[in-house]
Amino acid sequence: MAQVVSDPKTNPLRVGLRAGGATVPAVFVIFGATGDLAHRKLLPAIYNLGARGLLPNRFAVVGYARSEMTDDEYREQARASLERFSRTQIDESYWTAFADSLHYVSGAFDDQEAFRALGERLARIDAGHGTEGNRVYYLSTPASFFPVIVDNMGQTGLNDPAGFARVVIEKPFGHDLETARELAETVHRSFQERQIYRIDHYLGKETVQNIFVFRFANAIFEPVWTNRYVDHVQITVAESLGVEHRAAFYEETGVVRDIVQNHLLQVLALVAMEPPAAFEADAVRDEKTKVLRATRPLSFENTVRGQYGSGFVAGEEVPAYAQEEGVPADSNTPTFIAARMEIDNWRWAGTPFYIRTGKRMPKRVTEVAVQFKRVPHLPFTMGAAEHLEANSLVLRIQPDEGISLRFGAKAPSPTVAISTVNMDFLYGSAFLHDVPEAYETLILDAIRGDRTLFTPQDGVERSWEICDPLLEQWRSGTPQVYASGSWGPEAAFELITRDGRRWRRP
Amino acid sequence: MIANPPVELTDLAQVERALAADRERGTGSVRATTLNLVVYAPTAQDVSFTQRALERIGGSRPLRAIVATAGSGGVRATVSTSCWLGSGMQQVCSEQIFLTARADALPSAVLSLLVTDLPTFAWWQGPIPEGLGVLADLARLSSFTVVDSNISSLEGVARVGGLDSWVTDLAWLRLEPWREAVASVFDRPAAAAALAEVRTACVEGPINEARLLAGWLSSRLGRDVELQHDERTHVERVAVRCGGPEYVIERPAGGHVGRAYGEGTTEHPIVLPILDASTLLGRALDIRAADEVFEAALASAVGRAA
Repeated sequence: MAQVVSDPKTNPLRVGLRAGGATVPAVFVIFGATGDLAHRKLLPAIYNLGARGLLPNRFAVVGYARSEMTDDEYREQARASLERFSRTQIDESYWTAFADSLHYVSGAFDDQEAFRALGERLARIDAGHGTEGNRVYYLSTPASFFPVIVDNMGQTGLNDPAGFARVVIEKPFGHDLETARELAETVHRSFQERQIYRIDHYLGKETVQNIFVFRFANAIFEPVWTNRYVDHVQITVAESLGVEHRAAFYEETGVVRDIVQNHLLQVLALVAMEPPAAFEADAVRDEKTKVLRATRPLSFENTVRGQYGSGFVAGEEVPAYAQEEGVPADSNTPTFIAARMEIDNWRWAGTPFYIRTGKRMPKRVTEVAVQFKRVPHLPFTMGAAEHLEANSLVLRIQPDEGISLRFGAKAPSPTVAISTVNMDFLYGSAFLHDVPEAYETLILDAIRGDRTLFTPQDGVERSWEICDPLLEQWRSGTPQVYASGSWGPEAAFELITRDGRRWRRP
Repeated sequence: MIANPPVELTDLAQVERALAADRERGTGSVRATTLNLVVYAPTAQDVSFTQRALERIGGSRPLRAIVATAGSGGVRATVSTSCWLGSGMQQVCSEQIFLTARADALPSAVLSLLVTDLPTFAWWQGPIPEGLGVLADLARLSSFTVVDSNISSLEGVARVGGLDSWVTDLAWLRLEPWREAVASVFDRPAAAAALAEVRTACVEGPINEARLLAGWLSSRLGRDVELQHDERTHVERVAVRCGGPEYVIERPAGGHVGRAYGEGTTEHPIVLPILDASTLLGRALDIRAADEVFEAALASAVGRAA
């Protein structure tokens, strides 16, 4: 990641120090501090950053929510969350210091007086903790509250403190292009674009960032990473789980808004983008947005939608989507999509990207498979190379992150017989490092002011431009039902076989 | 950790075969190795210490460790493989070769056992000898030499720095949280002005770490910074005096959360971990280039009287 640290030019003692952590003092304000996300992810992530010495020395956390609570009660809640959800055990000596930095302010999101009280409290915290008026606001609330929170921050001056102000927003960034623009206009009334951090936790995963490193830190792959050598690319994001307890949310969302518009298009952009000049926010985000601009919108003709029926996943019998609690029996919400996508640029013209994602697939797996073209001429007898497959390179993102290269090798035999072999590299067999949670990476970046892994508004809008035409077309008609535990409806297989290709079995 | 039983050998040509047999038994035919680590362990106590450190770091950095001890008689080697299970049930494996030979035979024995074309680190555990001797030979095989001035001397470290191998001092790495803490005091514009007035560093800690800290301040600020020192097992307190104002960072003995305070700054807690040997070694193995800040600090520290 690009580092944003105190300047060695003004502080010569900074020269040569490893800049892994954040150094500029700040207060981290969590709106929706009593919610699920705050307790499961945010507080454990902040705690673990602090315990590893990565937070600024002068730092405080302020929780803001409607519930009436004292600081001590909030600290007790935080402690319980850490005991339950932190990936590390609580370090008692650090906990004391961490607890002292936790504060709580009670108020409704539409209560300007409460926002003013929050501002006064923050000023007192600045004086006590030396946090110099720097703020990172995290909106850990349902998206419907974003406008009122942001407006009230603007009305009460929270957007304009003595130091810097940044606002972190969770997806979804709108429901479609129009609402995404409305949301942006609302937020821009109180914050400039450079102050806005749109978080997609998927981009904080080490494994997703590894796509970037794999492509641009190795000289041997990039020269063949073009339509000249690549026949097609397959991106699979499969979940074995069903809708679980999120039926109401999923009915509103569906597979395109839940996965394609954000996670999947971000992975596609990482795979297809041009090399940026530097691994810095603007350079990386510009290249990703450029390739999304060259990506054709999803079309009805080149997509298949599905909805899971009943079936078996890993030996367990599971109900159909329409039988899940909270789902109307006549629901048309798609839980699966397969699509053929095209990128109209010099590098990728004529090389399709096939994507598929769905719930209740046979297993949980995310992978990118780059399928290379066959050699132009095989100087072997037909019998020798009868079963020879084209080369492929598979980047597995989860689980068992790694790289697999498929190539032909001579089988031991008095005659020439060629077999296809896979060479697997598992990241886990080379590094047993403690892997930080995606939220730790992204929260630290927000505190440091590094926007590389956050989504810019133009990227959000382009993603909606790619998805909106299909969402409009899908308003009518019904998805095809596929058996839980299968790789989707039959039409998904036809989508690719009509091009003379076939899906990989991950 | 899964450890394959050690195999004792007197013919170094059999070492690779024994390690390959280990791989076939436990881990299949694919291996990932990221570096060679040559350890000079002069005593049995050093060998045990090395074993414990390797157990801690081998899982995060698959490596081949060649632990060399000078002895009498012919070359003897004990080889073994240790593997750690990752979350995906894949194994990370490290190879250990415990080697005993006459001191003058050690470098050639080590050379024959290095994995080809990987970064090689030499970790010298004892005091640094006046004439360098075997240390110089092992350093020549390596890109990086790791020493600890706390059990040797800064002057010895400086001599190692003159060899054709980048030197890393574990004492310097131990100071990293303290350097970060001291630097953070002067991040604020108000305190930054006080940098021009830094005159004295009062350090409670091991003498060589104190000298390095003062050398670091002197070299970074471009002028002499006086050192006042009280001996402790670990660094416990650093006070930087800038004319009148004083900025203090301290942690309780044995604790790892301290506090920082000083004129114009708000007192605040600060994480100052006591880094154990395996953590320090792991960090040393992550360094792949010259550390010019360390070299300047060392030169400054050595240039002044202890």
